[in-house]
Amino acid sequence: MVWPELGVMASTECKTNSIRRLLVANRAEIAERVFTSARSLGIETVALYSDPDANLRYVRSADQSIHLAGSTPAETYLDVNKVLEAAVRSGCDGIHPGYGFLSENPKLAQGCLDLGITFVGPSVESIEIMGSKLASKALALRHGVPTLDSLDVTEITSNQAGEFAKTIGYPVLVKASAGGGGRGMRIVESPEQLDQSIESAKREALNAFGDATVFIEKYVQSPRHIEIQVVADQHGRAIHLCERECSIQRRHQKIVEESPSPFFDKHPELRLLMGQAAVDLAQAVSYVGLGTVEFVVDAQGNFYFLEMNTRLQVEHPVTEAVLGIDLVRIQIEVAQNRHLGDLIGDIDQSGHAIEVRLYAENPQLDWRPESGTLEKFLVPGQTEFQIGGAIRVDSGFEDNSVVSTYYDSMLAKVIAYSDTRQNARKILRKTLIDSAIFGVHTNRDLLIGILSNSDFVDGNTDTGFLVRNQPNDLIEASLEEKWLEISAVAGALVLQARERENTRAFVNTPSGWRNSRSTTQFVDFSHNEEVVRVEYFNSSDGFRIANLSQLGLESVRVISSTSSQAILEVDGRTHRFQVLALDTQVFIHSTLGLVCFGRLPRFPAGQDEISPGSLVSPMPGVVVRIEVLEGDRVEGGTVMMALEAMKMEHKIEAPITGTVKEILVSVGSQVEASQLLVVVEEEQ
Amino acid sequence: MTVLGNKVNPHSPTYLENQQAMLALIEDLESELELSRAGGGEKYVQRHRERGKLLARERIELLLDPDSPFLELCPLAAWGTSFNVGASLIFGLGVVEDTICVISANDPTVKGGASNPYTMKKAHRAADIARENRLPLINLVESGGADLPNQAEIFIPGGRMFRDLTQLSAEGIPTISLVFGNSTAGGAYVPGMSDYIVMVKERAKVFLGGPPLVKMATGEESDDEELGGAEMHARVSGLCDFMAENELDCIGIGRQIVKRLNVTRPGGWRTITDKGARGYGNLAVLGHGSLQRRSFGEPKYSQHELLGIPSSDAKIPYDPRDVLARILDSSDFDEFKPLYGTSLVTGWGSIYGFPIGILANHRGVLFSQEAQKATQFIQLANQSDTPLVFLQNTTGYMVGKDYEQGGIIKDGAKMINAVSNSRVPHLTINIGASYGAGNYGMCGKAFNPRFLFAWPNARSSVMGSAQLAGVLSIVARQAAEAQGREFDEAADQEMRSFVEAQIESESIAKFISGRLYDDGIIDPRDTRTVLGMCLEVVYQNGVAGTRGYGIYRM
Repeated sequence: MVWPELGVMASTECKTNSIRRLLVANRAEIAERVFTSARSLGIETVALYSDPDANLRYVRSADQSIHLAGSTPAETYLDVNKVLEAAVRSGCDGIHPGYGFLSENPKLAQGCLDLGITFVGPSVESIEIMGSKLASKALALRHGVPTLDSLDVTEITSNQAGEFAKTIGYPVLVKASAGGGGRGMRIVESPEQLDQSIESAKREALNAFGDATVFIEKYVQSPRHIEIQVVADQHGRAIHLCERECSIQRRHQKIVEESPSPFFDKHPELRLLMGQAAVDLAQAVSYVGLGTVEFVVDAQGNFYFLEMNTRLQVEHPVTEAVLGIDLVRIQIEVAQNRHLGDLIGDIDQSGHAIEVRLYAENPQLDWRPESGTLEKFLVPGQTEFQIGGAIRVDSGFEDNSVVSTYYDSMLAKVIAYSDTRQNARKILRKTLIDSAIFGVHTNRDLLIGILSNSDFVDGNTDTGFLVRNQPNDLIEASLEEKWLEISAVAGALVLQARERENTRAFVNTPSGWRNSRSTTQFVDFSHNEEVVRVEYFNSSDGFRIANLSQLGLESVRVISSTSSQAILEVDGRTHRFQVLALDTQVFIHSTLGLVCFGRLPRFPAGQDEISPGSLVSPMPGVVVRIEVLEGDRVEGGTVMMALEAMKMEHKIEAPITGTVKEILVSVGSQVEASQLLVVVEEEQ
Repeated sequence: MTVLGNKVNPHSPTYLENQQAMLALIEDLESELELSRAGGGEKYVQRHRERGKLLARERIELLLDPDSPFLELCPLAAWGTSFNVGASLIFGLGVVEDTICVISANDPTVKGGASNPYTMKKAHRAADIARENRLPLINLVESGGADLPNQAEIFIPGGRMFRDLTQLSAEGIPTISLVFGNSTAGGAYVPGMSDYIVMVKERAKVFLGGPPLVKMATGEESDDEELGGAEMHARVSGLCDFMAENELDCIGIGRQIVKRLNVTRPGGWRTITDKGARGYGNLAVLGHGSLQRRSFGEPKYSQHELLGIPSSDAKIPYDPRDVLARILDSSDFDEFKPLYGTSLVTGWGSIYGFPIGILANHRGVLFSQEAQKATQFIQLANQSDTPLVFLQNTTGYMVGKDYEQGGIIKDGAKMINAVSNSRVPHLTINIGASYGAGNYGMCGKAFNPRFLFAWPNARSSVMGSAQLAGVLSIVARQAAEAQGREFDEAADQEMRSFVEAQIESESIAKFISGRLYDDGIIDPRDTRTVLGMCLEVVYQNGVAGTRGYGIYRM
C-alpha cells in the first residue's frame, strides 16, 4: 500500500490508541450498531455510503459521512484504498470494519497500521491465519482442537481428490478456503459429482473472494452449528463469552441464532470444553479483540473446529442479551488498549435470547432475493432489555427505504430476550406476527414457521432443519386455514376503496352502484402459482362477497374498508387488515399473516415487443459467466450464462433448441429484472 | 340555510301501507329488470357462451372502471309490446378511464341483436344523451341489423343513427365502435361512421352484403372473412383501426382509446369557449381540470323512508318537502316564495354539492299563482345558471269558470313558455302523477328534460283514467240527449270500466317506460344517487341559462 501524498499520521493519540473519531467501513444496521456504542464512549462517528445507500438512515445518524462513488461493493465498501482515503479525509483515527466487506481483509488492517489508524479488530497476522481455513485447521490441530480431516485440492489432480474423498467417505464437503457465508461450498454425495463440484466451487470462490483455493473435508450429517464468542485484550488475556447456536441455516447462511444452545442443556460440559478450545486457539495466535470460533457438533456431542471469524458477528446481540454486556463497546475499548478485567466482570449467562434474520427474499421461490422500496417497515414492540421479555431490532431500514440489489438483503435482526427459551421464542414469534413489512417480500412467515415448529420448540435443531422442513411446509403450518382467501377479501375491498378514492368521475356515487345488477365486481390476485378471485358487490346493506363458497368461507361481514385498511368479520371472528396497494402488488397484513399478492390484469397486457426465444433475467443481478457465443447452436436446457444475485448463482438455460442469435450483455453487466439477455432462434 | 324538519312517522299505518305498496311495486320492477337482463333467454345465452363469447352486460361491466357506478337507461324499453323487454340493446352512463361515457351494447342473444323499432328509439336516445352532454359514445356492436319483418318501422327513420354518429364526431364528441360479431348491411355503418373501430379477430364481420347476397347480386363466390373479417379490415380495407385477439383484448383496447381521448375536464375535450361566454355556471364548484371533491353533508333523514312517503292511493297528494329532506345535501332547502302559490314548492338546494333549483308539486293542482311562481323561478335559475329539478305530482292546471276567467291559460302558457325556453339543464322525476298540461308545465318528455325518470308508482296520461272515462260518459250522455236518444246506462257502465282499465294500463310507469317516454323507472331510495349522477353528467357540457330579458315579476 502506497500513500505517498498522505504521509504517516503522527499523533500522540496513536500511542495510547485512544480513538477520537471512528470510521465505520460498513453500511446499514451494523454501521448504526457501531455508532451507538461509539457514541456511548464519546467517540465521533463517520459513515461511508455508496450511491444507492445515500438515503439510508445510518448515513444521517453519523456525525459525518463520506460518499464512495459507485454502486457495487467492489467499487465502494470493498475498495481498501477508497476506505482508507475516506478515513484520512475525514480525520479519523480509528476504523471499525463491521462484518462482511473488508472486516476480514488483512489489507485494511495493514493499511490502518501504515497510516497510524487504530483498527478495531485483530492483528494482520491473526486475520491472515484465520482467513485461511486450511492454515487455521492446521493451527487448531497443533493445539489439540479437534478438526475434520481435510485435503487442499487446489494444486492436486482430481484422482487424488477422489481417493481422499473415498477414504473419509461420502458425503464430503468441498469448501472455499477464503471467505464464508456458504459461498464456494458444495456438498458432494457421490464420486461422479466430485470434479464438477470442485470446479464450480472454485469458480464461485474466485468470483466471491478472489481466491480459488478449495478443500475437501468430511461432511458431518445434520450437525449442530455452535460457536464460541471470544474476546482478548492487548495484554495477553483471552476469555470466552459462552456459546451461540446457529444451526438453522438456509444454504449455509444462518437465519436463526440463539444463546444458550439448547444442546448444552444435555451436554453442559461442552460449554467448558469448547470454550477452552476456543480460548486456546485465540491465544495460539495472540489474538486481540472480538472473535468467534465456529464448531460443528454431532449428535453424540463430538465437536470439530470449523473456522474462526476474526470480527464482530451478525448474531452478536444474543450474546449481549444473555450476558448483559455491550460487545461493540468492549471491542472498541480493547482496541484502545484497555484491560479486559476492567471491562468485564463475572460472566453470568442468564435467560435466553433468540435472534432471527429478516431477509428481503422469497423462500418459496428458491430464496429469490427481493428488492424495491420498503413502503412500510414496522417491527413493533422494541423495548429496552429487561427481565421478563424484551425485543431488540437492529435494522438499517425504515419506511420508504430502498432495498437495492447490490448488497445483502437482510432487512433487520429481531432479537427476543426472556427468562426462558420458550418465553423468548413466543415473544419473538408474536413480534414477527405483528410486524408489517410492505413493499418487498420477506422471509417473515418462514421465520414464524420455524419458531412454531415442534422440533424447534423442543430444541432439536441442526443444520439440516430447512432441508427436512421445506419452507412451503413451514410457512403453511404456521398459517391459519383460509388465511389467503380472507386476506384476499380484505385486499379486494381496499382496492375498491382506493379505486373510488382516486376516481375523477361520479366520485360521490356509492361504489359499484347499479340500478340493474347483472354481475359482480371482481379482483384476481395471484399468490405464487395460485389465483384467488374475490367477487363482491355493494348492496344497500353494504358489501357482500358473492363467491363465499368458492373461497371456502361461511360468512363475511364488512365492517369497514378504506384505501389502506379493512375490518372484516369472517365466520364470527373480527380481523383488522392493513393493506398497501401498489400497481402490481398488494401487501396485506393481519394477525393471520402477511401476504403479498400480485394483481392479475383484467386484460391481456399490451405485449412488449420481444421476439420468441428471448431470454430475460429472472431477477436483478450481475452477469458472471457467458458460456455461449453468438452463432452457437444450443440444445434446449443448455446453460448459456449465469447471473449472480445476492450471493446466489442463477443459470440461464436455453428454452429451445436453436442458434444463439444475439447476446445483449457481457460479463460484469448489471442487469435489471426482465432485462433481455440473449435471443435464441428456434431451429426449423 | 334552512334544514327541513321531519314530518314522517315510519310507524304510522299510512306510512306502513305506503311502504308495503311501494315494495310490491319495486319487486315487480325488479322482476321486469330481471327479464331484461335475461336477454334472449337461457337457451340463447347458453349458445352464446358456448361460442366463447361474453354476454353484452359482461362486456359493459369489463369496459367500465372497476367499482365505478353504471346507470342503465331505458331498461324496460319495449315493455308491453311483442318485443323482448329491453329491446335487444343495453345502454347507460358509465365511467371508462375516469371519463363519463354513454355505453351502448347490442344483446346478440335476442334475435341476433337485431333492431326492432324500440331498439332504434333507444339507440337514438343514447346518441341524444351523448350529444346533449358531450359524452363519448361507445358502441359494443354485435347485431344482425334490422329485424326484417319490421323493416317498415325501422328503415326510413333508422338512418338517423348514422347521421347522429357523424354529427357527434363533427361536434368533437368521440365515437368508438368495438365490434364483437356481426355488424352487417345497414349495421356496418355503425362502426363505419365511428371515429375509432376495434374488431375482434375471427369474430367481427362487417360487410354490406354477405356471401348469399353477393352471390345473388353479382354471382361472385366469397366467404365471410374475405368480405368483412377483422384481418381483412385491419390489413386491406383499413376500416378497422385495431384488431383485437379476443373479446377481452377488444375491451382493453377500447379502454386504451378512451384513455387517450384527452378528456381532461368536464364540458369537453376541447375548449368550450364557443359554447358561450358564460361557459360553466359554477367554476367554483367545478374547479379547473376535473371535478373537485366538494364538501357536502348527507341528508339528515333516511332515504329508506322514501318508500313510505308516496301515497299508495294516487289521489292523495303528499308534501314533496318530505322527499326533498331525503335527497338534498344536509336536507338543506331554501324555499322561494313559500307563502305564494303554495300548491307548488320552489326553492334552492344541492345534491352532491351541485346546486339546483327545485319545482315540486304539492297539492296536485296548478293554479294561476303556481304557474306565475314557476315562471319567475325558472327565469331566476336561468339567471344564475342553475340546473332545475322537477318533481312531478300533478293532476294538471285548474279548470272552472273562475279559473278560466282568471286567465289560467295565460298563466299556464307563461309557465310552459318558461320551461320550453329555459336553457339550463332540466331533470324530471315523476314521483306520483303527471296528468294533462301539468305534464308539460312540469317539463314532461316533450319538453326535452336532459333526463326523465319515474318512481314505480308514477302515472302519466292526459287525465286520470276515471276522469277520462267519466268525461267520455258525460259527452256520450250529452250527445244522446241532443239527439233525443235514450241513454244506454248498461252500455255506458261497460264502456266506462273498459276505458278506465285501458287508460289505467297505459298510464302506469312500465307502460310509459316501455314506450321510451322516460329514461327508466327508479327505486325511490336511489333518487339522490341518480340525480347526483345526472347532475355530474349535465355539467360535462357546462350549464348556462337563457339571457336577454330581465326577470319578469309575475
